[in-house]
Amino acid sequence: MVESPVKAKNVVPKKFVGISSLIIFSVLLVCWIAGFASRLFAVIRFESIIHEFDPWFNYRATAYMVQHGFYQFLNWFDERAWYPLGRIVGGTVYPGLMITSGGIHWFLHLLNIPVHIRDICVFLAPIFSGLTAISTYLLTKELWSPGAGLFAASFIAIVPGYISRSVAGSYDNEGIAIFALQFTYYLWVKSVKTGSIFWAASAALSYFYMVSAWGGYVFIINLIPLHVFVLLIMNRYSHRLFTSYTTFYILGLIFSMQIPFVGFQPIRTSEHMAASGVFVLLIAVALLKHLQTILTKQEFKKLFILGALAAAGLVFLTVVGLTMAGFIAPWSGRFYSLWDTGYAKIHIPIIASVSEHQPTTWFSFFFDLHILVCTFPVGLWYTIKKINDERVFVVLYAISAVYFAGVMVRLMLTLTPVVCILAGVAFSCLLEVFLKEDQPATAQKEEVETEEPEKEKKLYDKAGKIKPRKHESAKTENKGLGSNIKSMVVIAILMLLMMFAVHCTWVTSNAYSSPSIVLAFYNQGDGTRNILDDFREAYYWLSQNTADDARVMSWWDYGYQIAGMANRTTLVDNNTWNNSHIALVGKAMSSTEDKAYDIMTSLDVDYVLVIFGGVIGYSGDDINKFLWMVRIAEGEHPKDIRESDYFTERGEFRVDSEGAPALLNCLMYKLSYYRFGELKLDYRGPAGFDRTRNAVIGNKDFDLTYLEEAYTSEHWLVRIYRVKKPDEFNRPSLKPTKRALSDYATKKVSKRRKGVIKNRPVVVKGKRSTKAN
Amino acid sequence: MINFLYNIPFLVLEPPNLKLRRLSFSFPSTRTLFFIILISYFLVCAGIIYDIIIEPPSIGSTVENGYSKPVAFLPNRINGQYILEGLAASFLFTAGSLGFIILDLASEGTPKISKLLLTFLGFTSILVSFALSTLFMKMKLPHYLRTF
Repeated sequence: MVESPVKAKNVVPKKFVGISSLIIFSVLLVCWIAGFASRLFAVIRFESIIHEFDPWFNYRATAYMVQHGFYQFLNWFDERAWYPLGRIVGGTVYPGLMITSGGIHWFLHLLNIPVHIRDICVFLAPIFSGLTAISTYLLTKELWSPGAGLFAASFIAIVPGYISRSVAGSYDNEGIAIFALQFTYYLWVKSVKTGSIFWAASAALSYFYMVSAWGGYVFIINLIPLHVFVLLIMNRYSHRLFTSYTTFYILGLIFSMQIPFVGFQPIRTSEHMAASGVFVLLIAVALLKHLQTILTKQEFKKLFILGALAAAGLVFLTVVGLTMAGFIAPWSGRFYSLWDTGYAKIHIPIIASVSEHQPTTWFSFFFDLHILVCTFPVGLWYTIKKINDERVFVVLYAISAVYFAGVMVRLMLTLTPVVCILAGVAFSCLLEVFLKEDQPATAQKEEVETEEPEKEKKLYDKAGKIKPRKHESAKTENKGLGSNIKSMVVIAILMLLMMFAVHCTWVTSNAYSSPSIVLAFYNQGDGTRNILDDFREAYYWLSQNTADDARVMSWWDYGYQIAGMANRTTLVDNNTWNNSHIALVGKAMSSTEDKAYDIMTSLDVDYVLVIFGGVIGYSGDDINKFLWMVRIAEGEHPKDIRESDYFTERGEFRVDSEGAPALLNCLMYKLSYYRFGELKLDYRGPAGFDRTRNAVIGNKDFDLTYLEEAYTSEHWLVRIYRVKKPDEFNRPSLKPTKRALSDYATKKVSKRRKGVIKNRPVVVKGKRSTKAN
Repeated sequence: MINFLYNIPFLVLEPPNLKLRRLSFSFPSTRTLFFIILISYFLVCAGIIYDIIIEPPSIGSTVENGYSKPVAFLPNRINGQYILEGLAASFLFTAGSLGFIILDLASEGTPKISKLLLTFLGFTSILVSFALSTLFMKMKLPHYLRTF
């Protein structure tokens, strides 16, 4: 049945076919429901709202597409971003996400079900998590057995490493891309197993969907060639492999070039070169295999060595030559930083500045995977022990994903599915060993259902009931362990799985379900909840009280939100394509007010928006991000900005009176702490006490010359300043009637006019001259 | 003709009497392969890449009553660690997975007594590793598995 599959792969006795497919169906359904339900914390606690930063852009683009149609969307030039440059959205976006939710929206409206596009966007990722579970089941079934597949599906439905990117409201590319990734791998494995063109072409189609959805498609187009290459090295060449790879590669290449953002990259950049290299190699190997059947051994040997050397040299020279000539672009910085781990830290601060691009600590592994982190090598052990063509694939997938996850926290996401697959294999094999002894009917169903704590508690009871029965029957068994021990082990494993479910739910609820545009904190005493809605408050103010074409300068993190919620023009946003533009904003933020004013006038800035967490102790504010602004600015303007100026002599970054003078007088500091020195947060503490950095600020009395405070939200989280026009500052404002205007001309206006002598009394005929003074 | 050309240098030089063995590359056995992978997995889980890039100290310290006191865990920081805590935690993970593997080995054909021993060994190492890693989590994140 379901959990005794290795010995009888897919061979289920006839009378069990019905019940086993019922089990598979119901487990997958429960997976889908459980995965969907556990992603809804954010919606239940807050509301149906788009989260964080990037999802806001995706939502805005989707709304635009639904409103204006697909072709308008492809041609969309967004003049509200990257002022004054603008952004060609249609050509710089992976449109798969927008098309998916737009398609669902269109379909539902065809059935006259009026759903707002925002709700579709919010719930897209949880719905796709069910599809991911199903495709993981299919993949694991191909690799090992249906029982392992059910385990893997249950794991991926609730594992935090995947939930972190797919809670309701986190409307991002990864949400649908993991499904596409798993499904492409399933079809690929299927096509390698069968060698049929149909499966290979389906894999290419699924790859096309993946390319349209996420930049991570590069992982597929490198992993599959790697699989082929390793199979060739292991001398496992077959016609099946040849058919499937050549079909997949050619179709996939053509499909992927249809996405405007990808364009000609698949034949021009180094990231994609491995695939074409393997394609050539595979054809060469196929040719040799064919020649081997024709020629004698002696001739073949000569030909082989000569041919191999010539081919290798030729390919190498071609690649080098094309790279030198500029036809093939070298590795882009983001990919390069995956190999040379120190690269980003030194050369590209903008990549290193994003916290999800940091290297991973042990904590993240355990936090995101829990018990699976232990069973992952076990599954690898089983697959390596019984290796075959498709298991080579999962081994390679595992090794490369582990490495990439170690380099970047964000890539835990690509590690998670393979961990679930291998953990499914491990648990299925283990339970097979420890449950096999009795009549197979006694303890079959429990292992396949591991979705929710309550469910497992039930199972625990069931296993407990079985115990005495085993006790009686196992005395006679001379082979194998006593059934006491076996049932103990089984119960312990079920307990572990229960702890896993508890952990997953806790992590989802506490760590990954915060929308981060609405903040909630709990009072220590009575546990009541306070909601801070400052972000939306401020963005709404912007949208209501500023001119429609007002330009808002802020750090790039908030660009998408300003565009999405306030609908105002931004200078920089989360699509960090133009480093020098960001550096300019960073320079403005980190120089003194008058220098910053020059930059701001040159960029036509009307408003400046800063995030300040000192009042409520919010740690993700602009002062804490400030060093990155300095670093990025220094990268482009090393003469004007130096990072060392912002540290004290002992190398500390502090905002109190001992802080570096450059820091205490820069624009960001002034905008964050303007009038903060007067504010007393509680009766005992001193005025101007910053709760985030636990310090009394150093520069309390200052006034702004070139800017004026326009709006500060309730908890001071968002502060907006208006940039004064050149005629507004530095002079007392007088009514036009009171202004002393001199009619004295400094130059000759016309040639015919006579010269005048200064201070000569004007004599008017018939009037007595009066003395002026 | 070609032979003649080849022989020209040896009119002057005397070839040394060498015995060269052909270079042979054999694929490593599955077990060695697996243990290589396991060791690298251990290192990655220990956050070795983090240690190389960020260069944290191997162990931290706090000042308490004027004395500096060593601290093994960097508390409340999800994205930070000291070198030793990473190695310790990763050691636990690896011990846990070795426990599972031992369980598997125990089920293969060995005499009953060693089977029992192996099962116990594997079993305890799983439980110990699980309990200790939960403890580590609590040191790292004091309110782990608690609501508020």
